[in-house]
Amino acid sequence: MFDFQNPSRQSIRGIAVLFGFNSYKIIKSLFLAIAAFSYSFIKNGKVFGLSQNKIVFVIALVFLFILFRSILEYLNFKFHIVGDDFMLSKGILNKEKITVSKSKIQNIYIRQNILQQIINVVQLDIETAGDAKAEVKITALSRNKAKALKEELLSHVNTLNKTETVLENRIEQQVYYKASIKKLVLEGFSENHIKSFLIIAGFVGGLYSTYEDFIAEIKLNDKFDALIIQNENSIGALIFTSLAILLMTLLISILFSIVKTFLLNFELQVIEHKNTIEIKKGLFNKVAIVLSPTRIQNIEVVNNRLKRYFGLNTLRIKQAMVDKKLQKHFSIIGLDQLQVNYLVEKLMQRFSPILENGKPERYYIRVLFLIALIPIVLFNAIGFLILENQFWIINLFIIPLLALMIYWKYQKAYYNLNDNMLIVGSGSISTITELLETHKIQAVSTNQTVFQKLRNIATVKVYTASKVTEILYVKESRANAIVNFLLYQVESQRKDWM
Amino acid sequence: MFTNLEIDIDALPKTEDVKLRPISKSYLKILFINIFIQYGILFGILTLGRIFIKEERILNVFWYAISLLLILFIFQSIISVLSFKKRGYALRTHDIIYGKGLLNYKKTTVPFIRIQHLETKQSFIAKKFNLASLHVYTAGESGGDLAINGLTLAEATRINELLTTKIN
Repeated sequence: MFDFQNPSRQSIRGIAVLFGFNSYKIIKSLFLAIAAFSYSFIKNGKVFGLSQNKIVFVIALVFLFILFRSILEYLNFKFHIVGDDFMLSKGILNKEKITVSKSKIQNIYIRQNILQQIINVVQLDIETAGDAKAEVKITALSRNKAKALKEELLSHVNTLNKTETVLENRIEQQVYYKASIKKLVLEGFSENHIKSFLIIAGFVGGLYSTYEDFIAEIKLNDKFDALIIQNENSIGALIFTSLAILLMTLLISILFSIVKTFLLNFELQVIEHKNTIEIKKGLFNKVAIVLSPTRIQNIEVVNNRLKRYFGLNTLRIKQAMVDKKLQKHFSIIGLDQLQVNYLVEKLMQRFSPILENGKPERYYIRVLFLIALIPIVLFNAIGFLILENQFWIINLFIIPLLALMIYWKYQKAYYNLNDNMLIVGSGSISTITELLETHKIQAVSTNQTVFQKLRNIATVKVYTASKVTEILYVKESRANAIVNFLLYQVESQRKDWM
Repeated sequence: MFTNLEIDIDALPKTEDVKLRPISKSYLKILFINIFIQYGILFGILTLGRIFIKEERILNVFWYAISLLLILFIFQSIISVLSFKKRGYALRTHDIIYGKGLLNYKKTTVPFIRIQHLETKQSFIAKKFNLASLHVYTAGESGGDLAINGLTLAEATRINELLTTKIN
């Protein structure tokens, strides 16, 4: 058993974790400087006139300082439990004392990143309601101690939650869903590769600007120019090269998407408890998240044409009072339609659409066309700089593409409202279905520009504790009716939103 | 006994029929003081620029910049006056409604049972006119909060007290 009454430190191995975190922080913040120095070192064999030995000495000194700091940080980090309060004191020079009342604790996460996995410790995050800054992070605990602390912290919460946890412990956990390797590969393959492409492009661009001089040095540009000049005469070769480049980037993007999906969702498991659902996943950064229906505000089901073909749906869950960094992990990928229905029913309620889907007014198409003018002008400007007088060729590709996107966007936009649920569809390449329970609404608004006023059109915005859902461009009378109905539901049911 | 009657949508209380109460007229003065301060600083920077930088190019552009700023100033003043009439709030038994905006009119309704906390604020200038603003906060970060500016202090305090009793 562990004694939490008296102040205790983290696991002694925590020094290594703190050392790793601090080193990472310093390297990250000095990344540009390091890149510049390494460039100057490769070029001249010297930095600021320092020889190799001296540089090693300086680096060693820096790491020694980090180690020293980490040890002090470890020694000054103590926590214990007094009555119903969790107390934490930390800080080397600026002492900080944090007190968290057990009843204020919203959630406790046990996590492990790659460093923590190697050292075999876990991280415990305590999340409180409201103030995001009062969040407590204990970076290195042995797994057993973390579990004991979690139980201890949750033990006195309130009687209602207590019975819940006890019940959950008694009923055996049941793994509802496990994502197979094949599903992960398919998920990665059917991602929106434009996004991956942009990330890669940004990364390469960043690298290029850092090492611009270095690349100029090895005369890569000249070789590339030579290659182009060589083939300039034959248009066929030009088309071939551009196709090859396009294919290459597509291949890299697909690979990138698959690797990303693997890293984030490795060994994805959905475990069913009596009232809650637990998600476990991650390769280097393992996370375990508990979803409780009372705290869930919105659910999004996302897929696209390809994913529907493979039977892959992503469920994104928006929970109230969640750390922004963790929120992105609140998703389950690779679910088939039946599993989606089952989980939605478990986390919210059964949904039976009674009315026909409502569509936005055609005014929406006009707005989309106006918005599309921005990329058209932008691409034409870029095209003019590159292709000069033949820039209009670009429009042959862009205008049909944008028209198709607008068509999809209008096709996929709809809303559906019944007694206790609101469903809103959106998306262009992907299809997004947003679900929310009407009794969790915080506020409603109608928005109308001058132009919409002339046509008696308005947009309804529905606010929950996690996000805004928009019912776009409906008739003003309809918008008012929706607002009145939603307010009636919230105010007459008087249910809690959490 | 459990009943489950059909709801007559037309019989629901209508938010669109509620007449919004205008805010205090003196708030327009505050709006104008703010605009004057903003543009005063901008005009000041331009004039200083003209005095200290004696380059031909900048002198040529100076009058264009001044007239552009003047047009913006007049435009914003007109918008402020016209949109002032659009500002208004209303209290119902179960919720509070606030509308504002001329080019983009937005009317938000917050049910009392969803209010997390309330705040009455008074800026330095507002204090001179005996005005205050009432902030109504809901849960979460999605932005369903209200900020009603230009209430008289007495009005703001009264609404604050009323809502506080409603919440509890």
